[in-house]
Amino acid sequence: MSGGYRGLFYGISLLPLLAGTVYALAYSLGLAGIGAPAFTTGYWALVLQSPETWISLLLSLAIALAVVITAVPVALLLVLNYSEVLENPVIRYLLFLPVSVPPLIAAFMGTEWLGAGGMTARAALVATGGVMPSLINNYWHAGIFITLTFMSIPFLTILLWQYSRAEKLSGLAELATSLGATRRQILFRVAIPVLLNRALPQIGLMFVFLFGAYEVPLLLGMQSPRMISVLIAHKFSKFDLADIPHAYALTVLYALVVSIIAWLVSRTNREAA
Amino acid sequence: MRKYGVPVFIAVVLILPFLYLPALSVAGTWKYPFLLPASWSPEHWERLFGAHQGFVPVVIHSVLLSGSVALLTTGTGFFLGRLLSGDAGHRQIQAVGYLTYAFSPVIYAYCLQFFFLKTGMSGTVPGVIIVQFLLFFPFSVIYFISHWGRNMKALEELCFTLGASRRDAWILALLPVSAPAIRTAFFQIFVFSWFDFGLTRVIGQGRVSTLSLTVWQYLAEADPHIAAAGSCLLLLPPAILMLINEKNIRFKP
Repeated sequence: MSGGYRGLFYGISLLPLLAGTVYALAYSLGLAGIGAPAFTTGYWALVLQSPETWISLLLSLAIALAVVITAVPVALLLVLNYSEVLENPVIRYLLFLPVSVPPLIAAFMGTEWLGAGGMTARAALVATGGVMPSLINNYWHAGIFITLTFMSIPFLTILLWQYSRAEKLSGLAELATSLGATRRQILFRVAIPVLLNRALPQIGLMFVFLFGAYEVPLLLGMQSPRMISVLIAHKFSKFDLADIPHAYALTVLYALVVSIIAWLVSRTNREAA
Repeated sequence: MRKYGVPVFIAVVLILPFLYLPALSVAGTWKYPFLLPASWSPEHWERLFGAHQGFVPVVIHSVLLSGSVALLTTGTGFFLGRLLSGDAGHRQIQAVGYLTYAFSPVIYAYCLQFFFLKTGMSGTVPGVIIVQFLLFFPFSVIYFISHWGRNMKALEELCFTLGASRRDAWILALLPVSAPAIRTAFFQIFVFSWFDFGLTRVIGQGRVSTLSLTVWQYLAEADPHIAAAGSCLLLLPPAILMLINEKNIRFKP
């Protein structure tokens, strides 16, 4: 009975994505599109041999990883060390307000605060008299990293705070204390593993989301190398029709990477079990 | 007091940029390296709402578009979530949901662009509504699957035990009990749609204008003051939403 409804769900949520990816694959193999030249692996060969592809993928993975590695400890610190403070609704509202900011505006704030004439540079000038280098269009992609980290910390803090309550962390800590655990042991052997284990699927999703970030690198990144979403969108929006098959090949590559990560994430999800 | 130091500091650092937006929107000249503007002026807001810009229609248009997407997606999610709540395949359903949830919207839009062009829906409001519905639909279904859990089933059975008809059970018990969840999902999806940039940009082809796209346009024209005024309006609904029910909210990471 519910098999039909499940089919309906898959039909609406998966079919368009699948159809789009199949079309992208066909286009990138020369089987679809305007003036399709008949089957060729030439586009794929070009895309796979181009350093631009791999640099862009690696850059996106590296930025996503760096943001996760920075934001998770900060959120853990806030939730584990300041849980009473987070009970205060005003503090929580202030801390959580940035979660409701879309990437477009976060990127806008990035340009206004991290640029050479931005607010941070002005404050640095007042405080130290030194001129701060621009953090946007920056070789190390500092502006993108900082903005994405700022966006991720509040989200992770809410998430971990909710999980710490759902998992009754304070009760677990009490139990561990009565069994003779030290503060350090409670932190590293109870609290952090419990929270991370519970939050792993969400952190994995956040990683995929950061991997495909678009608005922030679009506004704050350099022309080259670009993060993968920006690279793909750029190839699609150029007027050169010869670039379209490459864009489709990159799209298939992106979908492949995301599917692998999503599959790994769904395996770690014990809620669904 | 010491306990408050770090969280307050982090909260202030995270929020400071956002106090800056309203300030920027009413700043006159604000040259480097000054930390405060030399003068204040409402001119950017006046420019934003100036009749020739046609800004008010864009706001109304955005509200209607996001409202339609939220209504459609919440409605289908609510009923399909109920039908799927007893389903054994939760794991796969969730995995599919995760996949679309984390998929880059702009790439998703490019993936589907061909079909929208073929059906003539590209560059139309219904096209944008449909593409947003497709991307937010899994979230809505998964949200309501967890809503229609064991408690709701028990409630429904209780109604029948007490002699209620199907209609009574829905009107007097199931819908009222579900109201807060429906409200949360509606606002949540409204905000997803309200913020959307990539889908509308690609499928709308510049012919469907929303507040997000207008703000982007001002940014591209390097007009930060007026972009800041637009951003303030863009941030209004989610800030209110957060105030109403901060606990039940799941934003995109």
